[in-house]
Parts: sequence; C-alpha cells; structure tokens
Amino acid sequence: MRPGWGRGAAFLAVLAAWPCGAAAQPGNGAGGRFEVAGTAMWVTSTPLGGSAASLTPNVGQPPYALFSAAADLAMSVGVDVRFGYRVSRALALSLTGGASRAPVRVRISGDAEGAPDASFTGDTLQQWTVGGRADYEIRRWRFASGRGRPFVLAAAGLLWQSHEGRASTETGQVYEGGTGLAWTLRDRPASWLSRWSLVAELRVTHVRGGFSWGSGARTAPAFGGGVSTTWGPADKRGIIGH
Amino acid sequence: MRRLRRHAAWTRAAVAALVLLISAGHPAEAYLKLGTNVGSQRIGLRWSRLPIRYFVNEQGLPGIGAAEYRAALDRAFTTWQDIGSANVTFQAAGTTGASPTESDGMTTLGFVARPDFDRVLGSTSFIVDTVTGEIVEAGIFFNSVFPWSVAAGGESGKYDVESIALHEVGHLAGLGHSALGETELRAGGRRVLAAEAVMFPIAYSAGSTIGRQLRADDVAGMSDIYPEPAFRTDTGSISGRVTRNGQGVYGAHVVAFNPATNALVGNFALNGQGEFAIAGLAPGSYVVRVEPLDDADLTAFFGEDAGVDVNFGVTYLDRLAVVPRGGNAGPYEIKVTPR
Repeated sequence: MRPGWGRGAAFLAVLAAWPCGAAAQPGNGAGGRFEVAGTAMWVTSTPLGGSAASLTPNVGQPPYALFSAAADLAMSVGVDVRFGYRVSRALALSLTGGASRAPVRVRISGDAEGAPDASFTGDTLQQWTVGGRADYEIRRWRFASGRGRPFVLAAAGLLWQSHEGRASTETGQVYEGGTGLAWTLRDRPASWLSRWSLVAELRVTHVRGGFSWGSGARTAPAFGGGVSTTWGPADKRGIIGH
Repeated sequence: MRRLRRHAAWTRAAVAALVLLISAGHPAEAYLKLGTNVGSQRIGLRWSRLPIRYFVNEQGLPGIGAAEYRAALDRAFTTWQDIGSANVTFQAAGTTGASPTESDGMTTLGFVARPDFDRVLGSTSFIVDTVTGEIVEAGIFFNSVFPWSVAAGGESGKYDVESIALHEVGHLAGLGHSALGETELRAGGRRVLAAEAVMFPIAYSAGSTIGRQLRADDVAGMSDIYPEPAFRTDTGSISGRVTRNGQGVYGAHVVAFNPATNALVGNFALNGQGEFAIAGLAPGSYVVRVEPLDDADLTAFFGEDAGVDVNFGVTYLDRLAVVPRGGNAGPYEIKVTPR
C-alpha cells in the first residue's frame, strides 16, 4: 500500500460506519436525512511534469540530453456524484464518485540533432474517483432568508486513470478542499423530498500518483455546478442541506 | 588521447556460419541480435545449455593482477546474470592456457596482443551450430597492446577490464550492438559524447568505469533472448513502420523514451518495409523518436552492403505510445522526410 492510501482508507471506513452513529441520535431533527448531488466539474490544465531523455556522458563531457519531453493534462470536464448523510444541521458526510476525460498534451523540445520543437495531443486519459467528502455549512453566513448557504468542503479519494484504449491503468490519490454556495430552489421540510438546491463549487484538487512524468504531486483548481436534493423522514423544524 | 572502437562479433570461417545482425518485425524478436542463416530462415544465436561455462586465460596480462583480473571478469558475468527478467547464467570453470581465439571446445577469455587491431579493445568470436543456431563455443580476447586497469575506481589513462568485459559478454550471450549513443568525429576515430547502453559499439574514454552498469536497453535486449517466464507478460512492446514517401526506411534507429522512468530503449527498422519492434518495455507512456544511424560506422550494426538509409531527419511519433502489460502499442507509422 502506498503512503497516503491509509488516510483515504481511514476516511472511507469512518463513512462506512456512519449509519451506526446516526442511529445513536434518534429524534434529532438536525440529522437523519440523506442527500444526493450531481455536479459537472471543470478542472483546469494540470502540468504532469517532464523529463529529459538523458544519455550518460563520457568523462569530462557535460550532461547530454537527446531531447526533453513535458506533458500536461488539458482542461477536463467531469461529473461527480455524491451520496451523503446529514449528521447535523451544518455537517454532512458523503461517499463520492466521479468520472472525467482529458487529453494529454505533449511538448518535445531541445532535440540534440536540431529537430524542431513539437507538440501534440498524445493520449486521452479517462479518470475515475471514489472517496469520501465532508461538507460544512457556514450557517452564520447564510443570506436571502436562508436560501443562500455558503459551505466549505474537504474530500479524499482514490484515483484510477486509464489511457486511451485502456492500454494501461494507473492509480493514485486525490485530495480536495474548497468552498461553494448552495441556493435553495424548493424547501419543504415537512415532505419526504424536502429540498432541491443549485450548487456552485470552487475546489483545489491535489493529486498524488496516477499518470505523471516525475512531478509527483500536482495541484489544480476546479470549478463547477450542479443540483442537490435532500430527502428522508419529514422534519417540521426544517432540514438544512445543500 | 586515442578513442577506440570495439569490434563487432565475428565468426570463424571454419564453421562456415555467417553471423548476422538480425531482428524481425515481430515484437517477440526485437533487438539487434546476432544470428545465422539456416536454410531460408534467420535464427537468433543463443546458448541452449546453461549455465555458460567459461575459462580464463591469465597469460600475458598487461600489468594487472591475475586475481583482480578474474574478479573483474566474474563481476561482468554476474552483472548480466543478475538481470531479474533474464534467465541467463554463467559459471567460471577455472583457468586455462588455451588461447581465446582457438577452437578447442572451451569458451575462453584472455588477453592477446593484436597491434594490427589498432582501434579494437576486445572482440568476441563464436562457434555456431549452423542447423540450430545454437552457440556451442565462444571466445573473448582483450587487446593487450592497450593499457588496462582492474582498479575498483578505474585508473586514469587505462581501460577498465570490467567495463569492456561487460560489453563483450553481452556479445557472447548473443546481443548485437545498440545505437543508443552520440559521438563526435575526431582525428583517430569517433569519441563518445554520451551513451545509454553498454552495448554501444564505442567505449567510454580510458579511465572511465561508467560502462560497468547495464542500462534499460541492455536489460531489455538480454531479457529478449533469455526471457524469464514473466518477461513476456510483465512487459510490452511498440511496433510500427518508418516510411518516407510511403516506402519503408531500412536501418532507421527508433528510440522509445519513458519520461516517468527515464528509460531509453532502442531498435532499428530491420526490413525493407521499415518495420520495427521494441520489446521488453515496462508498461507506460513512451515518446518515440526516429533518427538516422549516424553515430558509429554502419558496419558496427549492419553488413557492408546492407543499404542502410540515413537520408532523413529526426522525427517524432505524433502521439504517445501507451504500452500495455503483456501487449503491443501500435502499429504506428512514423513518416520521415529527406533532410
């Protein structure tokens, strides 16, 4: 097991154990409701690192690179889904899954024999994530009579990246932090399907492992929007969710 | 300082076995390997009986200790033997007074003074079964007219026995030359600027011990001849054609580079269709570069009349080659243009 998987696995274990925790709070109107959300996310271009095709120099010779290659993951569009449980009025814990697809751009430079620099879209990565996420609503910052609900989020998960044609698959970990705003479209606490909301999110995505050319970890901002719904036993005191 | 060139493997006329540098387009037969014609087929040379037993001739040592000399040779054999993905083994059988250039049923390594080979540090010769392609005997001689060293860290102005032996033992096992190196032409011959294969035909300068370490290209080549069972399933290949105006380019040097591991592995387009195959690649993404063979004499790689085409410029495959575990990436067509 690679370092870093432990944390993600531990978080998943906490989520898996959560229904027991919910059962320990009977009658707590702040909890006991589920949330389902779907979000379209745009992840900005991410450098994947680069490397020189180096030959071992002879005695007294300077380092010799046949050429250099660098790659980045072009901006990708993906879909995230989230199935959560609202622990309290402010806090929800969720299991998440995501899928996206992004082209890999390659740049060749510094050819030792003078070949011109070149760039091409060399591959397409399909990416899948599975993980856990915590959303915390900042209740004191609610506005518009509670319809606008800012929140912060933190997430961790496992990443699978498959190259074009599924020729090769690589794994890694993804960590996210961010903020967002939920806007209530419909709020009926007394009904089973109590709330529909629009959600906008801004995240910072940190990836370890996966497809990389030596850069190791990399970080990229992501933004997106979607819809969430809250459902569960009716609560006449109102359920806060996004 | 003189720059010296290793001699390509040669045959003994007595057995009438023509040793060729061969490779076929099939990924399982990649790398420039030594081979022989059997009927209408080319068969790669390899030892069928392992371990390969070798004797050491300690006569005429050029100012080096016998024990240190044997130890240097043993280390060279062990370096090849320790390749995890290759199943080739060697066994020191003792010392002998026999010459490494004689056909006597023994595989012998030793020093011979050959002032007429004024650019040859060492050479490997074979006795080959012309029916099966099996190597039945080989000999490696080191040219004692040059200064040699067996010092752990090398000695200035002297050639490192272990480094040169490592190259020659690669031949002894059946490997041909690699073109993964860059040279410059100077008075007296070519000088290595840099290389990334022990099997590059031109040695590093005297005093260097860089050549004691195998590179990815060497490992892939040896594993291709003597594969461990997992070698074919754990690694993959890249195949394709190098073409110019739709016609195959014979002898084009194709290099696969994995930027994640910095591994460089090369091979040639080895038929009239310009087909190439590079096997033994760790799964991953590779940049593929094609260049004309211009950093050593063509005869170090091909026969005199091979018709190697060097009239084209460096060209890159316009996509990444993603090598699957146990599979092949391609076939790709790499279109080069005249320079």
